[in-house]
Amino acid sequence: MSQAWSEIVILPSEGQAGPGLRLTVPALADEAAALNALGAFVDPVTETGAVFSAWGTVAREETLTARTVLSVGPLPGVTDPIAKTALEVLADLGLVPTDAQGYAERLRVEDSAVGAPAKLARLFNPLIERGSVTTTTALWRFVGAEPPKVRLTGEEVGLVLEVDLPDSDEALIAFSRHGIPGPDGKGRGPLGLQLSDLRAIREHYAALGRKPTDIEIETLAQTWSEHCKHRLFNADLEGADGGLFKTFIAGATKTVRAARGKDDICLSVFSDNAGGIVFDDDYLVCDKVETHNSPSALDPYGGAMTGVVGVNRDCLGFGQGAQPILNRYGFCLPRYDDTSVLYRDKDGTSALPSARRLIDGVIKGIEDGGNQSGIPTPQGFIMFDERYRGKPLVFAGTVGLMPRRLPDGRDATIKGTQPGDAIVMVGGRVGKDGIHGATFSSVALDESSPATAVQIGDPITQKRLSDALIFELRDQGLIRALTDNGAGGLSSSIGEMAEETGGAEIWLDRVPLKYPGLSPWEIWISEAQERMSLAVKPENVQAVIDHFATRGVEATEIGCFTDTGTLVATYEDRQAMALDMEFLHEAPRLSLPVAAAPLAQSRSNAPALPGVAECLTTLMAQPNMRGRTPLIRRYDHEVQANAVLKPLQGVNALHADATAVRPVLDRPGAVAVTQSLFPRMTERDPYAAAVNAVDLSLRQLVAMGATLDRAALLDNFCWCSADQPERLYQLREAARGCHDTAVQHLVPFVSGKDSMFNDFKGFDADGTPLAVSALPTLLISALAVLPDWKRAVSMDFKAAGDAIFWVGPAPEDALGRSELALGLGLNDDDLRTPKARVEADYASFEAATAQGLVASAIAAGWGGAAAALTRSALAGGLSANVKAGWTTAQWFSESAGGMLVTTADSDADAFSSTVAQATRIGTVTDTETMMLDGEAVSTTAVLNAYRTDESGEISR
Amino acid sequence: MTQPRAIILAGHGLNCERETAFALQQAGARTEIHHINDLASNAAALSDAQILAVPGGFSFGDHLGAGKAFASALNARLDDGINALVDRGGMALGICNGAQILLKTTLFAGAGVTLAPNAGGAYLCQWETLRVTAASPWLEGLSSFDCPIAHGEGRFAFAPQALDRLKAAGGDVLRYEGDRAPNGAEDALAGITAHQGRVLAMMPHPERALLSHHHPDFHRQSVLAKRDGRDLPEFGPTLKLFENAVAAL
Repeated sequence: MSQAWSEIVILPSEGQAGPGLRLTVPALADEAAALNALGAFVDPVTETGAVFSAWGTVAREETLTARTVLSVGPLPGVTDPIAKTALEVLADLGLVPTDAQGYAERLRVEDSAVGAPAKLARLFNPLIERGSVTTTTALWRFVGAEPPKVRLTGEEVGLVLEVDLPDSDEALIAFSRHGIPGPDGKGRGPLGLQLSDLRAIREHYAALGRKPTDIEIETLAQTWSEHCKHRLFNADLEGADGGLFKTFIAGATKTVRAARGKDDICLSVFSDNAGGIVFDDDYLVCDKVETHNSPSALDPYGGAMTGVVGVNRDCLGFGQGAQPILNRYGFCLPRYDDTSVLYRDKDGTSALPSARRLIDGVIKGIEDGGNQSGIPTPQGFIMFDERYRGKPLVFAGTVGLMPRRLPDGRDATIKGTQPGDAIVMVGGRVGKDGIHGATFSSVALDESSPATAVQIGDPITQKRLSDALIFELRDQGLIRALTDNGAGGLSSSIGEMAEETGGAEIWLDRVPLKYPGLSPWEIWISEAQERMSLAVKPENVQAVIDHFATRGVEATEIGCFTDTGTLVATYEDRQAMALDMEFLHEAPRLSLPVAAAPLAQSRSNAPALPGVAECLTTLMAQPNMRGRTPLIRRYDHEVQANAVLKPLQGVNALHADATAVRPVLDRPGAVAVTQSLFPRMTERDPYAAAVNAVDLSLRQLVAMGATLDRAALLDNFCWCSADQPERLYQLREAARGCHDTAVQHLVPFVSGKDSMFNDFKGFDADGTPLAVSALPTLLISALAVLPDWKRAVSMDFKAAGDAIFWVGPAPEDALGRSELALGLGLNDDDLRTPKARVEADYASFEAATAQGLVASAIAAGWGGAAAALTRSALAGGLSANVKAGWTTAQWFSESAGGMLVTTADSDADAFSSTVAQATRIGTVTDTETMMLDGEAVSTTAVLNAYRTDESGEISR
Repeated sequence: MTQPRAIILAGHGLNCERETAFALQQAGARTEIHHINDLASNAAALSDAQILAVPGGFSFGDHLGAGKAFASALNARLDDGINALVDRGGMALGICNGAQILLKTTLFAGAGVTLAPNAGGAYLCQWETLRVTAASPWLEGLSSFDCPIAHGEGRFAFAPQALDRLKAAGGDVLRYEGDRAPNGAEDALAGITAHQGRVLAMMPHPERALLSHHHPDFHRQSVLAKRDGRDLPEFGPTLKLFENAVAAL
């Protein structure tokens, strides 16, 4: 029996450009209904439309001129937000039932059929979408096809397998790689468990005298995954007993908090979805930076977008729920001109996205995720390097604002789940999407990586959920605790929440599904997006569900929290899981060897360099140095009207390193954020690279007017092949650098996330195996609270005649791993890299800011002092006459500790007597030519170099 | 004079309701944010109000084209209430997504105008200088001011003769400086009105240009002003737009 369907087609009118849609919806009743639908869907000024049904056609025009159309629709089961909206509108008008299903295809009308297949191929990702080339005339008729549907055999509905764990180590390793064999004998996808884990599981169940169920194994795999439990970061290493996290990251925080004493700003560190610090007496701010590398490698757009909306949920799930007030992004990507083609399989059928597509996709994903959620995205960076071709790194972070106490007096950082509380799942439904995302991101990307790990986000569903939680339910006291359903889906969110009470019982058959046919283990670990789990007192459950319903958000009671010490799952009347909570949360500790120091210093440092002028033009045209104004203008950085220090600064709008927002418009406080990384330096000297990254992120804060007594740090270690002793050595040294610098500056780490296997193993076009590992990348993100936004200082020069100071030690004569060395193509291995500089003291500069002496300030980072001076001058539309007496190598060295500062000439004496290590090196001018130690540089030439994009266009 | 009551709509992905309410509060209005689903079942709230603001955002993700789905809901449930507010002399404002929505309601019935995708194809978030080119109670006393835009579908497009009709009625109130629209809008239009200027639909965001620190040149101006012994005022010129709504009632 087939259901009857109507097809709604919307196309741009003759002479108009723009997108179109083809919707398949339950049959509309008659002509009046069709006209009603067209009234809602078709813009009469620019569009035409028609409704085709078995009973006839209602069209605004009878015939159309034949034009080529590219059509793209989601594969069955992939989130289809357009269809969802269309059906909501039709249901609202009473034209279709409220629970109707449908399908949406995006259309693009082309001027000509030439090259249409190639254009189409660039428009969709075959892992999640299907596309076709058609014509306006072919679309303008009734087809009568059913929308594509997920058809599952249903054989596994309610099926719970008992699993025989193999005896031999070899078989256990194969078991982990391919997954639990399903009824058809095929593996269900990688588990990512270590051999020692599987042995521990085998022993545990042997002692219980029963076999594990498939759900139990999947739960252990998710919970013990590198992604969720950070096994490597917690493993015992030589030189870090107790693990890197405890020794160096949490260790630094412990030392800092003790030293700060009553002035400690930490309110919640490492235990929640984000880290929280004091904003003022009534509010706190929280921060979290996530990575979404593996999903972005397969589907750049969807991976990046779910990265943003995912980290937004970390913020929403912090404490009792924080309001996102700022997004930040970071990309480590191959260069635009990288034309390599890489395949996941030997036969060359499964290509990775091209570099161009990867770059465009992740940029667009962050745009749509942030803009559609109404969260400003002022802060970000891009680093290009060929070693990010296999696995790109995509960072997404969110700063949130939350009252420190709820209206009922509860401390808002405390969760407070009680035994007996109901488990309410809220948001999107569960499907096969996102299965094995957590375990997949814990291993290298190769042929066996599951395509179902790819997800598509639906920011509007999440925005509805977010509004209802943060602006309505939180302060009514109806919710006792909440957390995000991210990696591992319900298995990890319920597993974590159940730790507080000591158990939970979940009724898997009650979980709402996108389509029937899912087996219990799939329901349990699916990472379908836009979902959160709540703990609600039984008497409040109905009120919570009802409120969400009025906001168009589905909420369902799916179980309860207990204190039985066991995590139980049932499907109808059968028990699918009974996992001991203690066993679940005590993953066996790994103990790993570290290679000896490979350091070979004593490098020469006397390369023949061109003059400063030529170096500067080369430098500012480098992919990592040049402007990205068009990108910044695609990311809404004005929404919430909270901008204080924007991503583009000065009359010439150059991109800045530090940005700040004022989250409560009638309070003076502001939050500033920065980011810093030196991955190429990490390969040579991981300790110094980490020290310099922490130092730079803090120095950027100090330069913009913040003080370090109200600052905090976040770490993201994105390593490669991290089970190899050499890489573990780099990891340990980088973590040690983080520790030493944080303790030196008395700034705590409050949150972090690591990703240890950013490796790609695949093939080239000839089927020859190849491997591309990402650079060992430590991203340091910092935030600081300014008691008054008026302290914020922008980086642009303000007026000719102002005094220019260098604050800090003179730059080192060390060009190794610098942007200039890269740009000039110098043999980098011969060059000395900068030393680790942990002794810097910024207190006197903070005092100068407090006195209002600083007119502009910028921290010297990538490109060194020369880039800092140039960016400040060009941003202000001004120039400079500087005599520092430095060598060219010093001008461009990326050594730590320096800031380029201007003051009014009349404030210069006060500034130099206030600030330690302040050296006046010149004066701001308004001439075309900038003078650097006697060499003339054309500001126009440098500005044009900065503004020239990858295609050679100059964009402002 | 009693304090006028302003209703700011929310829900389904609108996201500028809080800063829009803040701007109206600073101008002296009493503000209430209502989810559209609540307002539909509480018609009294609308009948007591004098100002209606439809704020910016991404209602329904622009999935069917900007503003269509939200406008459909407004037309189905609140058409009478909204028209009654305007007919009794009330003021209505649509900003960005709110403008895209208002153009598709009966307030602009027969106007033959829409907001189409930007000519360049890309979303744009940047500051623009606006010129007031016809009178409206919303723009009283303003001749030129700076505002950010942030949209992907902000190109005013007209059915044949519709632009002439709009000009004849004096509804072509806001244009981008230099007569060049960043989104390719016809006649460089940034905002238009209906109902004798009391209904304003504008793409730029005045609520994001309210405080003086919102302005991109603030830090330079502030440093230079301090050297003259001055502080910049707390608010920028755009506060006037919101004050005008309060004064007009």
